[in-house]
Amino acid sequence: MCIKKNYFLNKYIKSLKKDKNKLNLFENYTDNLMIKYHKKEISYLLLKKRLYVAKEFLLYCTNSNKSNSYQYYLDGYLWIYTNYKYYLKDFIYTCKLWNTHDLHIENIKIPKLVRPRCSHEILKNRVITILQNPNDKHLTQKYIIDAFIGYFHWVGIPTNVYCSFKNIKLVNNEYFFITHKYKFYLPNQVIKKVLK
Amino acid sequence: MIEIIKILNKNNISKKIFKQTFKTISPTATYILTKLNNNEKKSKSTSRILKRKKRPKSKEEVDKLFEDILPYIPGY
Repeated sequence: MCIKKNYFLNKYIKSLKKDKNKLNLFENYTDNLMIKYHKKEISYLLLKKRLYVAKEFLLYCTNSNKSNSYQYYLDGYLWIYTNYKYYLKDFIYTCKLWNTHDLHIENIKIPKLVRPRCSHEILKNRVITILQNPNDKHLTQKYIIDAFIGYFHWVGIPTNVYCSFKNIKLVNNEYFFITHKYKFYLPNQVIKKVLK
Repeated sequence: MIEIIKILNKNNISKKIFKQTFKTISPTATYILTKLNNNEKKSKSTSRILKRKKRPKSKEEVDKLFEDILPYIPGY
């Protein structure tokens, strides 16, 4: 692979440098895919996509301080990024082959929306307090999004789903919290106040 | 006899309901039992209510909810 093409790979490795275990796993997986690529079993685009999704998943696993299992993170990751299931399959099977992680991807179905665990009144109070003190350092991005989606859409986000403001996108001058499967509209005034 | 069975079937009297009406079952009743339908017509309360799939709310609904909290937010 030429240097120009290798640029993205260095970027991926750099982002995983903090955790040696994950970096080793990623590098081994990269070698495995490179062999397949040189044998012309997979295309360059597929190689790039698989590596990108594997990297993103490994980064997603660092979201919590608790030592949760990879399966816990996998369920959460595919709740938001449902369409990446296809690209992630190969990584999961490779992990199984190496006996590094025993993960099950087949049983994970398309996420169904469920109601939040707390009442609408509690969520309303949460949204009000967030908007009254948007700069409060104790507020995490997940907590804010959980409250907004719960109050405005009456949908609960599972605890293993780690979402951030990255998932909120501007489409036609309107803000949406976007997953691969659903699009949640959020009022502009609310988001602008939080994103300040 | 055939007419009785026809009437019972017409009125959706199932085997289960028919059995409950007799303390001791006579040979005639057992004969009628064999001819009755086994299906009970489910009442609306017992039938499974089809749940609507949960979906994100529309822009109008969200804006309405936002208007509810507007008085509590400073600067609006």
